[in-house]
Parts: sequence; structure tokens; C-alpha cells
Amino acid sequence: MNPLSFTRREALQRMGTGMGVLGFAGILADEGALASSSNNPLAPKQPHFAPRAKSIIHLFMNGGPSQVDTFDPKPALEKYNGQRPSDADLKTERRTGGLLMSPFKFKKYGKSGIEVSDIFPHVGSCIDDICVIRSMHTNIPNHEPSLLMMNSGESQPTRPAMGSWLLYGLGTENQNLPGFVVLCPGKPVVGPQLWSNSFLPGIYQGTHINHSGDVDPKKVIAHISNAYLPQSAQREQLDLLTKMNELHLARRGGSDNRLEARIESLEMAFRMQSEAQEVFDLAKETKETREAYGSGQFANGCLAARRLVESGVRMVQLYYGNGQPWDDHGNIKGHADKARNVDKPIAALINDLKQRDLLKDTLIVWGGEFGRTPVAENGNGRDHNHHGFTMWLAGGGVKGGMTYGSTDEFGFAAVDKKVHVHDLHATILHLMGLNHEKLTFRYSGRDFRLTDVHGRIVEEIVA
Amino acid sequence: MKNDTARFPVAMLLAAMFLHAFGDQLAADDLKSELSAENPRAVEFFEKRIRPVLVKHCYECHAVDAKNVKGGLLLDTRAATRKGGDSGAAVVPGDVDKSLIITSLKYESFEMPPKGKLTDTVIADFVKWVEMGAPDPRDGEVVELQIDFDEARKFWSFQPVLKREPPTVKRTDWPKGNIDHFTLAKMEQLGLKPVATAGKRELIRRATFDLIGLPPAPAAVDEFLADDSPDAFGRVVDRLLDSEHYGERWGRYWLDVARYAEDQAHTAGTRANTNGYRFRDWVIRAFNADLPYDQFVRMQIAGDLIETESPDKFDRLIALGFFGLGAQYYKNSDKAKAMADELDDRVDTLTRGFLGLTVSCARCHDHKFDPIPTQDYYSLAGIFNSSRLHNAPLCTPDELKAYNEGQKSVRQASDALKKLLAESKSSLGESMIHDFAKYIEAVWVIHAAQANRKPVKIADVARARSLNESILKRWVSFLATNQKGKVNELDDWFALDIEKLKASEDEIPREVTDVAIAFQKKVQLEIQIRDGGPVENLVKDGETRKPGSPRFVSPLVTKARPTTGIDVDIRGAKRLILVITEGNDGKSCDHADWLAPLLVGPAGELKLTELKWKHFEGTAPKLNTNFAGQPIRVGGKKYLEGIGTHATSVITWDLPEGYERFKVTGGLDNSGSDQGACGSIASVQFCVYTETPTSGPIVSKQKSNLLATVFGQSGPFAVNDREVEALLSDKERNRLAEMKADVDAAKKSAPAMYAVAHSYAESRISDMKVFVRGNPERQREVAPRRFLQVIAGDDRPHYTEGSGRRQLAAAIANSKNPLTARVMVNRIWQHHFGRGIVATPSNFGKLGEAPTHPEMLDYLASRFIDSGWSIKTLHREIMLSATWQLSTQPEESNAQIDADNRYLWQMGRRRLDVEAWRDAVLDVSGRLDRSFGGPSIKLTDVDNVRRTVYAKVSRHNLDSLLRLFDFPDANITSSKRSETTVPQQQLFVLNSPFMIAQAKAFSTRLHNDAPENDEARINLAFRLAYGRPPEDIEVELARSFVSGGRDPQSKLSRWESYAQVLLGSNEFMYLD
Repeated sequence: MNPLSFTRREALQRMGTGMGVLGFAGILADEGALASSSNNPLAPKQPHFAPRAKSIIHLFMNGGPSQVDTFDPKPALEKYNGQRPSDADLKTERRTGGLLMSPFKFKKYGKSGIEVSDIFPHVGSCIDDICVIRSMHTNIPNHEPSLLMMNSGESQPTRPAMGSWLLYGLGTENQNLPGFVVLCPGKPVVGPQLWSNSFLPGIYQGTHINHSGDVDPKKVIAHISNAYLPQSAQREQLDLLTKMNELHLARRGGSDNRLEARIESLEMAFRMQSEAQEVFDLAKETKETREAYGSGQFANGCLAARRLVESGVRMVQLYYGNGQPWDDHGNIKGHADKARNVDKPIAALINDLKQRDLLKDTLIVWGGEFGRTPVAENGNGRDHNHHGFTMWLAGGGVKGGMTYGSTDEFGFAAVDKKVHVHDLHATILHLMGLNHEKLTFRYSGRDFRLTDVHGRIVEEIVA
Repeated sequence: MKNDTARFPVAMLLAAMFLHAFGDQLAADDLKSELSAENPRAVEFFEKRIRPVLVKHCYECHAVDAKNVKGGLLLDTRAATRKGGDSGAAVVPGDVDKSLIITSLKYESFEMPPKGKLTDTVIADFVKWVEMGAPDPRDGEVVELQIDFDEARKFWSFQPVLKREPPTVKRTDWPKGNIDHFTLAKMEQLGLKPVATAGKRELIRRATFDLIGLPPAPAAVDEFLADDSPDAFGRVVDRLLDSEHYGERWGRYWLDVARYAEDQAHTAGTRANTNGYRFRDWVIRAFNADLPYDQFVRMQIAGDLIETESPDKFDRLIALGFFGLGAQYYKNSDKAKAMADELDDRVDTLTRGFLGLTVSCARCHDHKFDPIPTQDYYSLAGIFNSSRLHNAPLCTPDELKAYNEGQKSVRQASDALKKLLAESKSSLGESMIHDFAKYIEAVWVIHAAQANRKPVKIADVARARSLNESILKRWVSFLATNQKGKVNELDDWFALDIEKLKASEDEIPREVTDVAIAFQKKVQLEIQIRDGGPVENLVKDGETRKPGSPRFVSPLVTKARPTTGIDVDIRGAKRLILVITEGNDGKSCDHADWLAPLLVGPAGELKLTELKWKHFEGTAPKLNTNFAGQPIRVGGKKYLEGIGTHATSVITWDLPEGYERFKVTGGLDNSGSDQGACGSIASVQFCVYTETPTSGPIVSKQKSNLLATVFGQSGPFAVNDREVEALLSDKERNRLAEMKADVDAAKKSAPAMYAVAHSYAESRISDMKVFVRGNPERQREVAPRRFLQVIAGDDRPHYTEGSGRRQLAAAIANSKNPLTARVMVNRIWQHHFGRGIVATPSNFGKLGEAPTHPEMLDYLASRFIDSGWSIKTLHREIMLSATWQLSTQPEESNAQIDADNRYLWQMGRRRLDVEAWRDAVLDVSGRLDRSFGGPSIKLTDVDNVRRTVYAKVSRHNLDSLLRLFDFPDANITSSKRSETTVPQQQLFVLNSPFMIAQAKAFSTRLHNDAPENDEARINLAFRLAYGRPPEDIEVELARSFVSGGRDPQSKLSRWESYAQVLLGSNEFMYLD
């Protein structure tokens, strides 16, 4: 066969009309037909069992939001305001004083009547879709180790992120987009290790997109657009490259998985340019949708997150902001400003996904790396708290309108139905159709897991 | 031993029978008293109620034949149950509280079984069972899960390296050397046939990339093609081995193993290792010099402890960068775990790197697959625990001394300058104390004008009122509305009603002046207190004071200001009540003294220490000693007379007649304030009452002191150095100029900073104890520092010489060590063939891959040792083999037998790693900077055209190009690169400014070097990029492309666009 008369691209195009003859696993994998034999490590893979959720949006309130001012009301704080009963004498990072009542009021929302702080009225209105876990706990009251723990299940920077594990275990639906996207205006503390592939292959790392300022579709992914050649010229250039690669392959016996994979990968890259730019083009949304989400970085992030999961991205992490903004040591009232920035967009995200019938397949995870103390620091602030905190889940096979577990009278430590970060990870993997004990990677003589040797699936919250 | 699981059905059967026979009768409460452990009915209780539960819910993880025994706990014999696991006895007969099995079932200690709490009835049965003495008929010894070392040493990698003779082969004309006998013998055994030998162009391209990581120059290709002599290829290999670029290629492979990086994943509390490149350069030089591998190993483990083996005496310190650049973790909380994690980094990198053993797996429990007990892990960890990171000066002691002295002079001179400036600032502020009210009034004027929306300039106000403009500016911000609540003493200022008073802009209202003067007085008073001067009438006597309210209340006394002067009017008083409060911060280290207390009046002077107190509340006072019974010491100064106590303290005296004043100094005693963190925050207040206190002491709401606020960083006098100078007198200014000149002179004469290596050194020497389950808080037996039992034998020596690193190095860099040579030979082999003889180069244990050619591995390892551990000799032998010289052509019949080419019937096609690929792109486009060594530069720097090995390698944020193309995460040792192909890589190839820049440069080079015509350029392009001339069809494709029309929107010429295609092609990226 004269390679010049029949380019791979043409072949692939013909394949689409049923004329394909090439044993091209990578492309078939898109249809899910040949997932296991694919040489594309990002092709969708069969989960261990039927999944409840296909993708995840993790709304990461970095810095550590306070539970007793958001989703875990504690009337006892008012009663004992300023006092430090022995039950509230736990060690955290810094010196703390007496109990500090929340400056915010709580109100019952929805049919479930779950109480939510008045800084989250919009999220409150969605409470019947939300499962509030009030008994989270983690190991260390410092940002860096706890950020790593929340992302990778280990407080040192030596393990892959959950998103990397998911890509490794499940691949991703859309080969023209990165499968694990991390949106953050700027960078959270610790930075890239939070979405590191660690010992997993490099393609499983998260793609960090700094969406501070406007989301510019041309810049969000590295090298996503060509500043030198118009599209038609680039097409012509790529056609020549493909022809030369075909010649090269033909001279080497016409069959080599890796050479073929790269030829296809170049085509994917070409397609990715338009698709990725498209997905980040928020201007494509209707005015109504834009208004529902509101404006601001976090609102843009929520909207981009929806567009990404809609396009088949496996995991989107949306950090609140640069550094550790929820870290209100000085004055807990600062939570009100941050809540104002996220409340409406989060509610819009939930409603939007619901309206598009995507909420059932999308697991939303909300929370920080830890919570905050019910006792005061610097008068009106709160210190880090690993003993107990709140996270909530919505969609993706999780029961709505329920609370799970509880903290003590003051909201300091988780006491009932405690959920460690490992347990949360086990549960999330379970919802994604993965057995956390079986999702392993052999490295350095050991089978590593996201949950290490821990993890309990919180069955009670699975719908 | 008996296998309980095997007995399981019988047990169940028995249980069922008992259940039937006894029914609920067994549950009767009187069983407990009635039944002893020996009683057969007690045993029946066990069989019916306990054993089935154990079997069903516990044996999966806690029986001797469980797949993974957890927590070191077995529950399948009586003895094992009572002995317990890592956490202690599971069952203590008769003691429910101490029986971990009970608290675990109740989810009070562990939460067992993990899948869900058992019913209350079952738990009650277990409680009952323990209470009745835990009757348990299950005999059987406690099985120690011990490693059988004799058996373990039979595993291939622990067997001594044997000198192997090359096997005989049928096809005797094929082998070129001994290697080929080994590979061909295997092939013949399996029915494989070696494919054809690669062509000369392929060979030189392969050899050049293999050894120096760059494409061959066209001239070198031509020369080799023209050389028909039998040793032509051998000469090519020798030339490449002699190239300085050889070390850049092969050193980099070692840097993967050494998890080389120049920073840490954490940025908090760690500093970048900016001298890390010295280690990288040393590795490159060591490879270039063919430093014998055993020395290479010794220097990296114990360079500081061995005789200089390198011509450069500092090399041995630099070589220790192998550990010196190791991981440093976040230690703010849980420091013990972070330290243990750092030791793990050292043990892991050492054992996988040099020995191909995953000793780290034994950190929490004995290795599950390899003969490495937990104790061995801590034996090695103890060696590193006795060592420390060390930034070693690379200079002579004299140079070091000279540098330190130079720096000392600089420091002294600049400290003096700083001190002068600081003093000038504070005295400047204090010298203006009498103008405070004027400044405050001026701020008022500005505020009032602003409230009236009138334009006002601070400069004008300052001029009109003869005030300093920059200081007034600061007063304005000091008194701005957003400062409200920060300084209590200014509450009155902020209480002023601007609306009410704003009409009065031109004329300053009385209220404002009052507030201004009051504030000025408060500051004056604080200065007086600070200087220890007597303070009068702080609390006014007479009609304004209610009985029971204090006559005197001191400001907060803290470590920073440990004394307060007190002089109180006590006229009319019958009693004296001295109170020390805890200063509103809790009773932390509040040791406080009344120093030299004195009553004064018409009756003369009376030391209060001579007058016995009537009674006290709280802490018992001590006479002439501090609270702890030691000599009184305040602010570092000793006092002989005084009353020592600890807040809160109330002491009451009856006053004799004839005394009108009480004078004393209140002091915070060093015995409290020197107690670390607690002492540093100690604070008290001294109060004087003359009646039973009815109103509490006025507790200062804030701990900051007024002077620090007013004269501190955010106060009105925090003027910058230049402004201070402007306010100084001529004399002071001259003095300042002199001191500045001193600083400059000191800097000039100080020798430059010496070079530093991130090295490793001896530390406090001690053995570690085994951490149970890796938990530093639970320690078991001592693990003597020594080498691994499986290699060094049961009677291996305890390392007692320093940390033991020198002995450790000797044990590893040892021809008797079965692993060291094998592991390194295999690494070299891997990089020549794309796959090792052992495909898991850092794991030669059970879970690693078995060698495809074990005899050849031994042959090469013993050759390696015999050659004096020469790596270059090894390269030569490999590359001159027929095996290495095979072509990459496919062969169907072979592929059917061995599709993965494990048995080397062809050469595997390899993708260039990111370094070789990027370097080749730069080299072909004529832009590669081939200079050697030195500090790293970022790849993202547009002008960085150096070899990739000189790029910055970050653990915190690995360069995106490196990560994209499978460069390993430098937080952990890496034995081989994964090879992934994803669109993001191709986006880099198609769109990155780097590729565009090289494409342009390549096009320019072609036009410069082949100006005649397109055909000449196409020909040169292929020879540069691919080491071969183009085929006709390629010429045709190229000509039609470069002669095509240029899109007006395109910023690239047709030739530039074409050059990018050549650089981005598969032929450029994959090596045959």
C-alpha cells in the first residue's frame, strides 16, 4: 500500500463510516469497546463494580472552614461563651482561649430541616440534596500535612493524589481533555504536590489551571493554542507530519503500537485544541445561567467545573483561592465574605447539574483540609482543628437531606460515627465503582493504595 | 500446629449441637459464678458462643494462615490470644477492662471487626467469657511468624555471584563475544532466531544516543561509514566513552536513583539546596572518570569518613549529597513522624538504590515477601539517625576562619549602625513626647476638614503648626477610624463625635484638647513606669475612690518589661493588702515578687519584710526568696529583699501608725519567665488595696503595651531610616555617616563566601528501638546498628564506629555482597536495551521480576568486579556484542514465541527520554550550549539552551516539560521511567514557543549551511536530524511543502514550519 494515498487520518475518518480496517485500539476505546486492550492509558476502564458516580467536583475550601459557623450548629457555645470547660481543652496548633459562640445564626432548611448557618442561605436551600458529614477527623492541625492527607491519604508528599488514582483506575471519558483538572486562582499552599501523580505514571497528574482574572480559553491549558499558525496551516503541517510518520512506520514493518499511538496522539492534540478551548469558553453559556452562578472567580470556577464534567472530565477540583483563604485565625467573621463568594455559585452548580440530569452521576464534595476550633484564638478567631470537622457530599449516589455522625457538645471533636479522611476516600472510590482495597499500584515492592491500610466505606450515606 | 480453619466445620457442627442441647439455659447469668475455666460447661460456652464468632469475624486477619495477619495478632490458639499482638494482650482472663478484644468489640479502642460492630448480645457473651476466665480449649504454641533465613538465602539474588562460563551454542558464527553465547543459548533453547544486525547508520546513531545522549554529527556518520576496518565500531565506542558528554548522559540515570533535586516538596521551613548542582556535577565527573563503582558507592555513603579517594579532597563531601539532598519534611506538628519519615527516605534510597531491596517495606512489620525483619529496618535507620544533614564548607579551615571573621566584622559594624538608628528613632519619638497633643490636635483639624469636604493637605497643616510632615502623616494613619479598638488608651479619641464637632474645624474644641493631653500624659506615665520612676496618683485618692477599690494597679508586667515602680499614698489606711493577679492570661509561670517593700511616713521607714503578714490567700508567700525558694531574680538581676509568690496572690498586713506612703517595685521573677514558651507569655498585675477588695483589679484588656504601640512598627514614629537622618542633629548625622563607612569597609575587606556542599555528617550516635507498626510513640526492643541479616549473617557485627556509615559502605561496596554488582550491572544493561535482565532494577526481591538471563547477570557482575568495578569496560563489552547490535526489525515467528522480546532476538525500539530528545532538538537546530556543569537554570527560561541535565529539578514543582515527558518525581528514588504517550506532549511539540524557536533556528541553520537550493537543504536536514539522506519520496514531500504558498496569517515561513515537522517526527523521537 502506498502510504501517501491513504493517510491515517483518512483511515480514521473512514472508520467512522464503518469502513475502518485498522486495529486501532486507542480510537475504539472511545466507544468503550476495547477498553482493556487499548494502549492508551487514559482510555476509560471498567470499574470494579457498577459506579454510582462518574465524575467528581471537589469544592476545596482551602485554609479550613469552621464547622460550628457553617453546618454544625452548637447552641452550647452560646451558653458557655468565654468559658473553657475541660471537655473543650483539646490541643491544636496554637494557644486558644475560651469557647467562642458563632457570630452567625442557624436556620432549618428544606424538608429535612437540617440547620445551616445564615452565611449559606443558597446552599441551605439545596440541603435536601446534601449529605452533611459532621464527624470528619484527620491527623495533624497544620495546613500542609492536612492538605496532603485530604488529597493523597498521606501527610508527606510521597503519594499520588486521589484524582490521579481515579485516572489510573478509571481512565477518562474524553480523550481531548485532561481527565483530572485542578482549578485554583493562583495556587493553594503546598501547591503541585496536591495533584501529583507521585509514583504513578506522569500522565495521571492533575492539570492545574490558574483561573484568576478572566478564564482565557487560549491560556488555561499549556500550549493549547498555536500563536504562529492559523488552523488551516497547522492542519497542513500536521498532515505532512503524519505522512512522514506513516512512512517511518511502514519502513519498520507497518506495525508498532507505540509509533501508532503517537500518530494518533498528535491527532488528539489537534482536536484537543478546539475542544479544550471550547469547554473553557464560559461566554457560551446563556445569560440566565451566568446570572444564576453570579460573578467572580469562584462562580467562574463552578461554571467551568460543570462544563468540564459535562464534557467527560473525571475529576475537577476547585480551590477557593490562592494560599489558604479560609484560615480565619484573627476573626471568624471573615467566613461571611468567603461564604458570600461561594454560596450562590455552589447552589447554582447543584441546581444546574440537577436540571441537566447530571447530578446523579456527579459527586460534589465540599470541605477544607480540616475544621476550626470552637474555642477562640486572638479573641474572635479560631485555630485549626483536626479533631472534628464537617464536609458535605451531594449527588453521585449519596443520600440527600441527611446528616451523618456528630461532634461533641461544643463541636470540637468527632465522637459519633467518626469518619476519617481515609474513610472518606474509601467511600468516594466506592461511589466511583472502585474497591479501595483493590485499587492498587505495585511500587517499591509494595501494593500501594489511596487508603494505605485504612478506610471504611460509610455505607449509611450511600443512596 | 493445629489448623483451626481446617477444624472449622467440626467446630460449627459442635456449636450447633450445643446450641440445640443447651439452648438458652447457657445464657443464664449464674453461669459466671458457677463455671470456672476448667469446667466442661465453660468450654461448651466457648464452643457455642465464642469460637464461631472468632472463626467468622476474626480469623480472616488473625489466624496463622490468614493471607495478611494484621496487627501481629493471632486469635486462633489460647496462647496466642493471651499473648496478643502489637497492642498487647487480646484477652486477660477475668479482666474485662484490660482485654483488648472486649474494648475492640465495643469500638472503644480499636473498632473490630472493621466491617461493622457486632450485636450487643455477642459482645455481652464475650464479656461473660472473659469474666469467667476465658475458658479456651484451643491448644497450640504461639507461632512466631519468623523468617527462616537459611531457606531465604536460597533465593537467587541472595546467592553468591558465581563466575559463569559462557554456554555453548549451535550457531557458532553469530556470537561476537561472551554475552552473545548467553543470549543465543537462550534463544536456541526457546526456538528464537536473532534478526539481522543493524546497519552502520543505525549503529552509530544508537551508540551516540546511548552513550552521550545526542545525535551523531553528519561528519561522524560519514567517517564511520568510510571506515572498513574490523575495529571501526570499537573506535566509535571508545571515542564516545571518552567524550565529556558521556557523564552527562549516564550521570543523569544515576540521579534518577538518587532522587536528585535542589529543593523540597514542602516550602515551609525548608531552604532550597542551591548548591545541589555540585553533587550533580560530581556524579557526571565520576562517570566521565570511570570512578570504580565501589568507590562511587563508598563516597556517597561515607565520603566524610574514608580516606580521600578522589584527586579533589572536597569530592568526598560533595558525593554525600546522595543523602545530603534527601527529603526534609514538614515538622511543625508530629515531628516524630516527620523525622521517622526522613529516615525512611534514607533507608529506602540506600537499599533500593544500591541493593535492589525494598527494606522500607519492613518499617511497620516484617517484610511480607523478603527476608527482612523489622529489626533490620531499624538497624539501618539507626545509622542514619546517628547522622545529620550538613552544609559542608568546601574550603580550608583558615579560609573558613577568615570568612567568619570577615562576616563578624560586617555584622558588628552593621549592628552598631542599626542600633544607632533604632535608638535615634525611639529617642526621636520620646523627645517629641511634649508635642503629642499638638499632633493629635493637628489630626483633628485634618479630620474636621475632611468631614466638611474641604481640601486639606497634611503638609500645609504641618507647616502651619510647626510639626514634622512625615510624622504627622503617620499620626493621621495611627488615629484613622480603622484603628479603632486597637489601643484602649485611644478609646476617648474615637469616642469624639466628629459630626458634632466638625463645625469647629478652625478652632479646636475643648474636648479634643482634653483627649489629646490625656493621651500624651498616659504615654508619659508609661515612660516613667518603664524607667522605674515612682508613679503617683495613678488611682486618685479621696472622694473619687470607693472603699474596697484599689489604690494602685500596675500595668501588665511581662518578661519584656519585668518590673513596675510603685509609690502609693496610704494615708488613712489600717490595712495593707497586696494583690498580684494573673494578668488575664491564665496562671502560666506567673512567679512574681514584691521587691524591697518599704513603708514611709512620720514614723520613719519600715521594711515590710520585717513586718509579719496577717494572712494570705492563694499561694503561700516566701520571705526573701522567690516562689520556688531560690534567690529572687528579676530581669536577670538578684534582689536580697522581697516577698516571693505566684499569681494569684493576696497578702494582708495590719498597718502600724505613722506611715503615709508605700514604696515597692513589682517584679516578674526569672524562675517563671525563663520557662520557655510558658515563661515568655507570663504576665501579672500588681495591685495595692487598703480595704478588703470589693472591685476587682482593672484588668488590661490587651496585652500589648502602649509604648510598644506608640513607638513601634505601626506607630507614628516608625519613620524610615532616611527620614530619621533628616531629623538628626549634625553631630549625630556625622556619626551615622562614619558608621556607614565602617560597614562598607568591613564588607569590602570580608572574603567572599566559600563554596558549600549539601553534605552529610556524624551526629549523636545511638541505636534506635523498633517502632511498633512504625509508630514512633510505641517502641520495642533495641535494633543494634548493623547490616541486613540475610546478607551479613546471623552473627553480623554491631557497628560501633561512629554512626556506622563507614562500615555500612564497606558492606555494600563489597565484592562478596551478592546484590551490589548485580544491581548496578543490571541498571547499565537496562539503559542499553530499554529493559533490564531483571526488569525491576530496584527490586531484586520476591516481588521483583526474575532475571531472564541469570547466568549472564552473574557473568557480567563478576566481570564487573574483576575489571575493578569499571562501568566503561562494561559498556564496551555490551556494545560490541552481536546482541546489542541487532536491528529493530520485527520477525513474526519470533514474536509468536516472545512478543515482548524478553530474550533479545531483536533490539527494542526506544523512545528518547526527555533529556535526550530536548538536547537533540537543540543540537540539530544548532543552538545547543554544550558547556559543562555549574548552577542549574530553569527550563522555562527562554534562553536556556543548555543540556537538560543542567535544568533545575524541583520536588515542589517539577518543570512541566519534564513531568509531561515522564521525568520521575524526585521525591522518591526511581529505577526506570514510565513511557506514556498523551496529547499534551504533542501540544508541546506543535505549539510551544520552545519548539517554534528551535524550528526557526533549524531553518536558519539549513539556509546558512546549504544556501544553494531546497534540495541541498532537505538533504542536510535529514542528515542532521536522522543521520541519513532522505529518500526520494521524502524529498518530494518536502519540496512540495516548502514551495507551497504562505498563509498570510502564518507567522512561520514554509521552511520553518517544515523544520518543526522534522523535529516533531517519530523518527526524531524513537531510536532504532
